[in-house]
Amino acid sequence: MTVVNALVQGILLGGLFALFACGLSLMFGVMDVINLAHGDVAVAAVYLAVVLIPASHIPAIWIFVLVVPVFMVGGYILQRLLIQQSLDSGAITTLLVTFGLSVVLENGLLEAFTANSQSLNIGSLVSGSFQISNQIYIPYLSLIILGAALVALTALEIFLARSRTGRMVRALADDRETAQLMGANYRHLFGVAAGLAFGTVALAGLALGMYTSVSPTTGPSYLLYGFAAVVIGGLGSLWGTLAGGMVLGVASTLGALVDPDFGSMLPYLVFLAVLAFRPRGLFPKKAAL
Amino acid sequence: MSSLLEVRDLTVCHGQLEAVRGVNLSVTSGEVLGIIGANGAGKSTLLRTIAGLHRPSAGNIVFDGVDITRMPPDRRVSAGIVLVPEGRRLFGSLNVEENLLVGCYRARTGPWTMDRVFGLFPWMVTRRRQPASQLSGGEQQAVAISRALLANPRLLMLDEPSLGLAPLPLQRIYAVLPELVSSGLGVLLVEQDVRHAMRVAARVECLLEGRQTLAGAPADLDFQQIEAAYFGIARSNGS
Amino acid sequence: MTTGTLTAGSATAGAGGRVPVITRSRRPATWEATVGVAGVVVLVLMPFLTSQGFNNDLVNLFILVAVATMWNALAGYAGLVSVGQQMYIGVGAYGVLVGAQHGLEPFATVPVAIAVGAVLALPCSWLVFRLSGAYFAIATWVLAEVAVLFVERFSSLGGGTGAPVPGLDGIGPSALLNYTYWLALGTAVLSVAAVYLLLRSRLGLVLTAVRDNEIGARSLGARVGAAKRAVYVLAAAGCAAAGAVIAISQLDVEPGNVFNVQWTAYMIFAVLIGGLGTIEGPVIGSVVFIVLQQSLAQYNAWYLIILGGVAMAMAIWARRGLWGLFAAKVPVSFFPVGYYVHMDDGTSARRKPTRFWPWTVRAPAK
Repeated sequence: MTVVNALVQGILLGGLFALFACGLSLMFGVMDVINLAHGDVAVAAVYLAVVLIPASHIPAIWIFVLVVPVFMVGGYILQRLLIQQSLDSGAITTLLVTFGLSVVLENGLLEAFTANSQSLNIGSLVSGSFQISNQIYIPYLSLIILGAALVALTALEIFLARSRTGRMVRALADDRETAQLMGANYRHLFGVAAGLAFGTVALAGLALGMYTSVSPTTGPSYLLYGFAAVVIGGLGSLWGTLAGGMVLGVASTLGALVDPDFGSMLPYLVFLAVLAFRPRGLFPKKAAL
Repeated sequence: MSSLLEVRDLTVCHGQLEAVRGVNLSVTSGEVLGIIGANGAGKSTLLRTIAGLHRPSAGNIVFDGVDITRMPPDRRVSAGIVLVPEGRRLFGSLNVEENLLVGCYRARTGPWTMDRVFGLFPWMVTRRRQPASQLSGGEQQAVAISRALLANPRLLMLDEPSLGLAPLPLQRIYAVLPELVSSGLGVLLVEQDVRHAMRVAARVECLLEGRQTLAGAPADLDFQQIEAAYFGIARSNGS
Repeated sequence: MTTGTLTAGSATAGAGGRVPVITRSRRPATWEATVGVAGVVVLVLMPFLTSQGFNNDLVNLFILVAVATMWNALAGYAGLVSVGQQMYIGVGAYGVLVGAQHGLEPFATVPVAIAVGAVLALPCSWLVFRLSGAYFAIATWVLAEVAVLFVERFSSLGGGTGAPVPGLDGIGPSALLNYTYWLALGTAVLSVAAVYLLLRSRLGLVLTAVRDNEIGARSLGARVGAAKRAVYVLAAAGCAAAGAVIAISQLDVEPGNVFNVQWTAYMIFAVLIGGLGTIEGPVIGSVVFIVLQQSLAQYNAWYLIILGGVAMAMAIWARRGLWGLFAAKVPVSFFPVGYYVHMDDGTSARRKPTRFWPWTVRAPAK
């Protein structure tokens, strides 16, 4: 029966992974950039929250109202000032620059906050759980995180599908030149995509900080999980990313039934298997004309 | 009549290759200028440079009296220059309606609205939610042109609209052109197929290896002249 | 580092009986060769000349030179941006540990560790070569993470905390330090030599062609896949060798250290600062890296932040790195790998023509 519980926990965990993944998916789909510092940005969001919570007297569960917009603006600026430069410079430069950014960010956090882990104290209000049956329980926090992921994904989906800017972002992802011919200022729209990516990953980081504790070097694991979710779900589909996240989550919890290390390893093995045999993922959507 | 577009001594390089060499032309409102020439003559490069996708190495482009040589492509759309690129290039993950709406992104004020487009091509109404990738060549061309029109351009540029199109849809596309120019739109039409260009254009220019080899009204040019200019046979005066 | 001359067999003589001659460098690199050999000789004698602390720094420098050279061969020549080379460093280190635990003399385990790394690279290359760009990079990183999680399962290897390398206390302490030093020096020299020879060979020519235009190279029949795989296996072997040196010099093997992605950061920064796509670059960059690391040692992680910033800036604005900036002004080349065509008027000594294969032609000297 613990297997069923592990399945349930894994599905809930999928929401968290999907939150990490959707920003990666957006930046990769629109501008062909994998931000290797993606996970570290999430961790930085937690540290910013740790600083802001006492200063602003906002309870931890609401701190995202401050942190997420800061990161959205920061993401836009970083894209236009740094990442665009490396995009203009060459194909492999961007990977190297975002890797450098990851190292700088991690060591900066290490210098400022030491290597001790941090978490966001959300109080006892949300630390209980539903009891569904003898062996299956659903923690309130996991449900909230999954809910937040669904809200974020839906909002992103609506933005992309219905809004004028979102539609042009999708057009840009399909064909940058023709989008320019239709009046797209691609540098600005890349900035918008990056801003959205940083905003969602900041939210993911805050969720992670409430769920467990983070330290300056926690970031890369979640970059890898996020990318894995994108690949497994298939590039171009936000809901595929959620499915990918859930596959990873289940692999993580089922693996942990064997032992904790295997719980960390199994998602990676699933990812490598998908890369080897079905690299386009489960629900690939990118179509070329 | 003052010209809408003036291209002066334009030279464009692709790496070490000079794709366009010292081209001079002008387009006025309400006329169709046809540009003909073989593959690789520089016609597409010329249009794309006017649209802003390439930087010329020499020469300038003046639109409505304003020098736009250094203007980025998105601002040229606001100024009123829109290119329908070669091969249609619809956005594959968007449906018909969304492709049209992208045309409205940076639209100027003007007569073209979604309703007017649907009036021009009624079949789009029932198929507006269809993915663009599922349309036939002629239908894609109709959507591509409509998408451009929705931006309410003053100069519409068409890069080989006949490419890959069957005769019937092609006819329908060309039938639309007179209506467009009657409203004052200037049209720059690039075609490999000379007959189509000659039928609709008020004037034609011929390009060969980036240089202009012939210019004039279709009625004034005979077949031998065009053939010589197109293929570069018997070049006198060493062009 | 020497010049060989190939005469273009069937070239027609130009006016005045001049024939095109192909050499491997702009001018004979005898000066650089002398300097290089002298430098290596000095380095060999270092243990007798300087303090143990300085020698220890040199060991770290040699380790970095080896891995940086390998990463540069992968990214700068084969176009394979890997962020997972730490996997092979770890494999090399654990190769030494396992060998020593089974009774082998630790220094004798080094070739075994290298062989394990090279052999492991073959199935890994099957997987990762199906991918490109960011997918490739992340796959290499994931492989490294899987490797460390795998290794940590074995309590005989020390699990998560690692284990000391047995058999090293039998050797006297100062002799151990000297042997470790020479092992590290040898690893660095052999790594650079191996990459240099590889790039001077026909394989190097294929890689240069791939770097410029992969599809074009394939259509000419160049065996692109084999060339890339050769570089990948060499890089794995080189990193495994470095890992073996780390195990011996640190006297123990900790998974969190040898499999740490930090090593990739060191490699990348050293190469970007020194110069991507040149053989001299990683050497120069490693020196700069170690110097900065030592001088900023009391400021903890600041040296990495600074180096990271500099590396990012150079990646965008000065891709050819410090060496590239220097070599643009001063015509020095320690590792000539190109081909140069000169017009020979018959006065210089001609050697027998060797093999004849298609070459990339650069502008003639002068």
